[in-house]
Amino acid sequence: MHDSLDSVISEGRPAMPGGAEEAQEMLWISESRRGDAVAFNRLVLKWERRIFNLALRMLEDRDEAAEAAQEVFLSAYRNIRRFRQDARFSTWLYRIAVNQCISKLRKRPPGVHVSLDSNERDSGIVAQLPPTESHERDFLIEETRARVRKALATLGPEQRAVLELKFYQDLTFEQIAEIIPAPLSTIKSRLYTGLEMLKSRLGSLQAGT
Amino acid sequence: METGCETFRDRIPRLFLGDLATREQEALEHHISGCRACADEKESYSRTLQHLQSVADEPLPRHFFVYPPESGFRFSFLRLAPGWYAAMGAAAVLAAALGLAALARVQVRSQDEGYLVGIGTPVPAGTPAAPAAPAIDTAALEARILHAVDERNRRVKLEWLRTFRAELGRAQSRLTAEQRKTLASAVSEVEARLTARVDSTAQTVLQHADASISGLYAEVTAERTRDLAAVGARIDRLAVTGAAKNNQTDAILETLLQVAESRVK
Repeated sequence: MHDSLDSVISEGRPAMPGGAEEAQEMLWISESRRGDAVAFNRLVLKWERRIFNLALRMLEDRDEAAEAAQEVFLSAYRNIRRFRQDARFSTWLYRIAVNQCISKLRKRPPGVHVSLDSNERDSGIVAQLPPTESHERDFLIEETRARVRKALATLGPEQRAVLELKFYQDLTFEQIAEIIPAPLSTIKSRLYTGLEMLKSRLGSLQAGT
Repeated sequence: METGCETFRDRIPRLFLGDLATREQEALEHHISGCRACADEKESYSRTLQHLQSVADEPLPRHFFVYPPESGFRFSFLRLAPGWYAAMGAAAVLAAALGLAALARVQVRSQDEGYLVGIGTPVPAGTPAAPAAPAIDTAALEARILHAVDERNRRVKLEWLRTFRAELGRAQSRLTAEQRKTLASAVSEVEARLTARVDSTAQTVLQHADASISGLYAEVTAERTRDLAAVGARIDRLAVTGAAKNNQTDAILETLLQVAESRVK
């Protein structure tokens, strides 16, 4: 018998060895393919943080990222029976997520998207405030993050996707080439070009901030 | 830049991404140790990667659970493994048997080392039964139940307080940031207004000062003119008076001379 969803949320699962964790994931996938929503939601619990933050860094808007993440998991649940169990579930899920985000980015009007998120700050206004000891470090860190996000926003959707999968999801080139169907040389070219552009745009940021 | 740097510069980002063969990596490190420009380029890439890492994961706004439509329950029921059907069938048979037994008033009582089964009629009392089980201490049981309920309520309250404090802390940090932005905007506006006020006040003071100085100068000039006129008039009067006195003196002297002349004669 399966636990209720509340117990799924509240139980503190201890860390499991890699093989055991993969076996457990395969079990949940099998149960999900039989229509077990609770088993599928265990998969959601495992992957939602990564998928949401992938969407957030690509779309730069919390509401849009939450909407995209929900659509990713809904799509995954509806199509779980099409998932070939000899493939990696993470690759399949990332592919859905990246396609979802690229599709949303392509629908946007051209130009840099300005988020209405309250984390975005007008550094000119805030800089006029006298810094306090308790907030100065937070302010500098948030300044750096804002500039990095703006620099990332100037990249094309495909470049952004490759950077996200390489730096933030820590995937290999081969794994990225499976997710974004493209030759390995194309993946590397996009990554190095994107990195070069970021280096030139972030060049004035001081080290250590 | 030294010759050969073009080749090595392309390898620098690949170094950070683990995309270099060992020999290429060693050659690059060797070149960097003697080339300031490439060393700076490497440092620049290193800083860029550090800045990228600053955009770390953010907490989830909520869970993204999937809730299938109600018809999905029937769908999942039809897709159970065969073993489940057998188990459910056995359970149904057992339930039916128990129902029939209840209807037929089947009674089962344990006695000595066996069981007595009766159908429809009460099982007759046999040999004296074993001593009755000791009475349950209901007061102690009630106290234990109440204690367990209190303990559970206390844990629930503590958990609620922890969640509430965490949410309050997050809300306060968000409010502080928003308040700071609002305050910054208000301070800027006040500063602009104060600057405008100071400027207009300075203008007004200058204008008043100019008017005062001009008026004062006019007054001083007018008084000077009046004073000069008065002095001139006095001098004129004195001149007239002096002339008259001179005439009188002349007349007196004339008379005295005439008298003196007459005495001499």
